Amino acid sequence: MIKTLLHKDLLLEIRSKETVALFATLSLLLTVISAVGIHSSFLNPEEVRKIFPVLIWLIFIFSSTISISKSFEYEIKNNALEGLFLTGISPWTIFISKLLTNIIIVLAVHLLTIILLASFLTTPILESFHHYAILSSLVVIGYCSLSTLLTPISLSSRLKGLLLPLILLPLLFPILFAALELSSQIMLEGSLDLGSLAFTLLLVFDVIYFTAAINLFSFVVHE
Amino acid sequence: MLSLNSKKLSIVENVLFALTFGLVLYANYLVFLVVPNEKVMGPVQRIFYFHVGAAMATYFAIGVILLSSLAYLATRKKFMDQLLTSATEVAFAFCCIVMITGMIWGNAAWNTPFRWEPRLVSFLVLLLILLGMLLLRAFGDKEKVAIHSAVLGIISAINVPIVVFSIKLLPKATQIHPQVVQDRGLRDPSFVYTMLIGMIAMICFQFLLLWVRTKIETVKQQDR
Repeated sequence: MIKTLLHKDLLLEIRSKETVALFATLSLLLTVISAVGIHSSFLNPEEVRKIFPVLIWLIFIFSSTISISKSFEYEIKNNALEGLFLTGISPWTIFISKLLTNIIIVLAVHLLTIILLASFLTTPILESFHHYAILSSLVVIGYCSLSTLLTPISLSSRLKGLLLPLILLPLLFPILFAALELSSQIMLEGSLDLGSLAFTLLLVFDVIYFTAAINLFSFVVHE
Repeated sequence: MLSLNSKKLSIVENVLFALTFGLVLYANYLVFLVVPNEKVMGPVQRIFYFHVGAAMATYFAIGVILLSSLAYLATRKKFMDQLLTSATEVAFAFCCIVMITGMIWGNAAWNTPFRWEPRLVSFLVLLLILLGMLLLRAFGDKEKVAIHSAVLGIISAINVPIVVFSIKLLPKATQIHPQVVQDRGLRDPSFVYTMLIGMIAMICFQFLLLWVRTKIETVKQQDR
């Protein structure tokens, strides 16, 4: 059942291209603006390496939070979600399918943005790219778990999608803190320290947010 | 059904009010007239007694947020939602008190009101989490806001203890927030006594505010 739902969600995204187009364009714009800013401030390569993690996660947060609510809008429109429930599908199946769709889209665009920003800033990251990929996957799992739970809440409010960053970002702080620490580590030392406190914190929050989100999702959409 | 206006509860309310009033007065007497000046920082150290008390009260209010959120999801009783609304506002108010008293102390001790230190940042994030909950309450869909607030309440409240305890694991060099009780101990016995009374007074004050705010929320919802 999850396979069918995932296929439906991905097919919908491939046909409409709304989330990917919005997310990728925003990321590209922010990457260009950041690169222009860095080049015009004449920072030396060492300083650029230090500032790189901050830029990459800022671009990620800004562009993903604006575009992620798009994927759920189809379900709210014309009561498509009600229709899904009438077929007897459990809320957690819908959650997993939405989560996987979001993870695939967000991770793909984010990894591309890392390559793009690195090439714009002429920062060599190819050797440590697999470390970035592991770190990004873990961050995206926590981020998407929480945003998949909170998107329907924000869409039902009077502020619509604009409420999402206000309730999501403070809760994401531990994950972002860990992401910043670990990506600085990759940038300066070339590897990911799996025994560090930041890595443990990231794993703990991934598990907590995933477990909480999957259990609470039915309360958000089924009522 | 539980009514906040019943006779038995109004006795509890009066006792709580008298207890809080007495304890706050006594704490003020101890802080300003009994405890000696701290050797290094002088009179500004006295704000510590309100600061620690307010921080404890914030944690208690967050505990109430978690319990009332879980209870609302389990029972769907309106009272639990009213309690959750009140606890969020009270937690936010006490979190603001912690930040403001901390800034006053920091301005005197560090020469700057705020430093990007783990504990200070964690409390700032907590303030933003509570602000997010208040915004959801203000702009949420009226029919679903109770259940949505309970969901957000659970996620927010489970965040707090992990963040608070994980800070303790960070290297000591990154932490400049004083760990007065754990590291150095309070030198004068009157410091410990005043700190305890200050904490109990603030926690009682928090429960009184919670009580009054819940009553107001009950009346507000009855009028709708």
